[in-house]
Amino acid sequence: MVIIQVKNLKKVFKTHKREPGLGNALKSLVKRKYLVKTALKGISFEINKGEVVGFIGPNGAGKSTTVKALSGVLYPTSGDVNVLGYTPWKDRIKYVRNIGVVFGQKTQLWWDLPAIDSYYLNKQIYRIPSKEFKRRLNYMLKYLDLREVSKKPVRDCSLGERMKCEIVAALLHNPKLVFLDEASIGLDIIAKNLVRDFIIRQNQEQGTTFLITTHDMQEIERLCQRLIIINHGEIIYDGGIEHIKKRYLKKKLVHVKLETKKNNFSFKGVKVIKEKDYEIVLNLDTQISSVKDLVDYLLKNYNVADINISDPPIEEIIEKIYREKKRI
Amino acid sequence: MRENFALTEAGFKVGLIYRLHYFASLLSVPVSLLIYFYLWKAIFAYSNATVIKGFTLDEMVSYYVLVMLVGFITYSECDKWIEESVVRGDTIMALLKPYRFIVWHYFFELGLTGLGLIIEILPVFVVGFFFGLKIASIPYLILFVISLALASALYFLVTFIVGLTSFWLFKIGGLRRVKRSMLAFLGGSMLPLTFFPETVQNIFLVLPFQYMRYIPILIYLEKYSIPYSITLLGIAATWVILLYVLARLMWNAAFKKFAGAGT
Repeated sequence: MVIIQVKNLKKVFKTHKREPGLGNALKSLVKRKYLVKTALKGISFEINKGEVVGFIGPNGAGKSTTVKALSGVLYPTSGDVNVLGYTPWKDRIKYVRNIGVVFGQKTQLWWDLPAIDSYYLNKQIYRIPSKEFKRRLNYMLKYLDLREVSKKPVRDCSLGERMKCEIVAALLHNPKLVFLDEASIGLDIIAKNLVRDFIIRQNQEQGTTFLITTHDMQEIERLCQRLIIINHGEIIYDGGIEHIKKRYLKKKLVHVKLETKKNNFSFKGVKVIKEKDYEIVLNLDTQISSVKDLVDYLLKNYNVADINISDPPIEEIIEKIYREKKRI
Repeated sequence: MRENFALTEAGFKVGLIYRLHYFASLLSVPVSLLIYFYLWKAIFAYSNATVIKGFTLDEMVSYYVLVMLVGFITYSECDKWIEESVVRGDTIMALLKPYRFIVWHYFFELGLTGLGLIIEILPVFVVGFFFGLKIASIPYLILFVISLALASALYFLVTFIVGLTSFWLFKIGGLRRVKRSMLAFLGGSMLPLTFFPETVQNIFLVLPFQYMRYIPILIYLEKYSIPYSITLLGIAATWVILLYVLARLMWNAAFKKFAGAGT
């Protein structure tokens, strides 16, 4: 069942152009220059019920613009959007009852109150039956380790604590559809894993549909079956995550710091990018050697102080996709 | 309706956090009343009159007690809250909830000022009686309550409209001051409007400002006949409708502006 249908969604922003300096600031009071920026060049996609879709792209690619249009707080320049049978920005009040949204940069909790007060408010707003509310709240607070945190004012929470509280607020009313826009910022590894598992459970048990934007490729890998990549307001990839993984995520960047100097590193499937005294940077092809083999080898033969393994940055993947498209 | 009062509860809780603010404003009551009392006592003594512009000294002092009372009861600061949310960029919070923007702010304010009322209203009455405030007769008391309800609605709507301008202007400190001084001069909280020339008073009659302060006060002081009071309340009610329509149009424009920029 299709629950999100986007057709030729286009958004053009017109903003004031501001030059630096006091003189220019004064000038702009009289004569304003406008900057026209096309955030979305007419994108189309569909999302089915129960899907967990990763929505990625570099900064300024149009991710947040899309999520805002889908959540009813942005008028697009043209195009059609149908979510759960509503046009979000036209039917805002009826529509938002059915969704949950987390914007990493904005808070939806009452800043002055403890998160728990916001939850009780949401109980009334979304008419959650008392029994279900208590059950879900207790479960979520316990799961995300928020029992104490939810009792202090949101203004006193750390970013990570606040984000966990936000996620609870967005899911408490068991919405059919949830948008998470950079919702993992500020979370440590443990919290990230907890939230991840939590999302997976919610998806499997309740059939909740998720659209997730993030810069964290690992998060996408673990959570999503499907990936939409957007760049400069255009969708450049829409398909299974496996394909992307096999094609573009087969390389890992391994950053090693050594306690003692050792040179001339060589290993099957590894390209040495940099080797200098106490530091080695390697590019590993996971189709030839696994991460585990490489790390085992390193630990056995080298006096390792620190290892950092990362994915190639999203920009690199996008570049490769473009290159491939040109070839076709 | 239950979900609306949930907002009121939230407002009440936020108010509790800032409760000291109410106690501080409470302290100002006896002080400023003393100033008005001695000021007018001196003016009456100097001019050797028992009635100035239709007010005896007792009535004049009661007038200022009532200015405060009406001020507390009709108080709204939703312009400040809207401005803050626009500047901070979290208007989105209200928009992602299934409420109309005006409803969201109205019921939140209700809780916020409701707490203020509980804390402030009794002490002001006590201090007021100490300064010679008399209880109005039942029919006027009823009219007074109706006029207060209308005054609250008017004040909220004006404040809401001022608040909406921050979608274009961002910082609206200047406009908020304009609103307050309009109320002080045209609404009668500085001086009874009988001090103005007759023609000016007639103009005030068709403006909304005096219905937020002056008219409720004069009704309480029983300065108008009952039929005339009812006519005035009719004008106030008309203004409520007009300002509501204006607020709606403004909100549609503000949402277009907001959703167009999407910030």
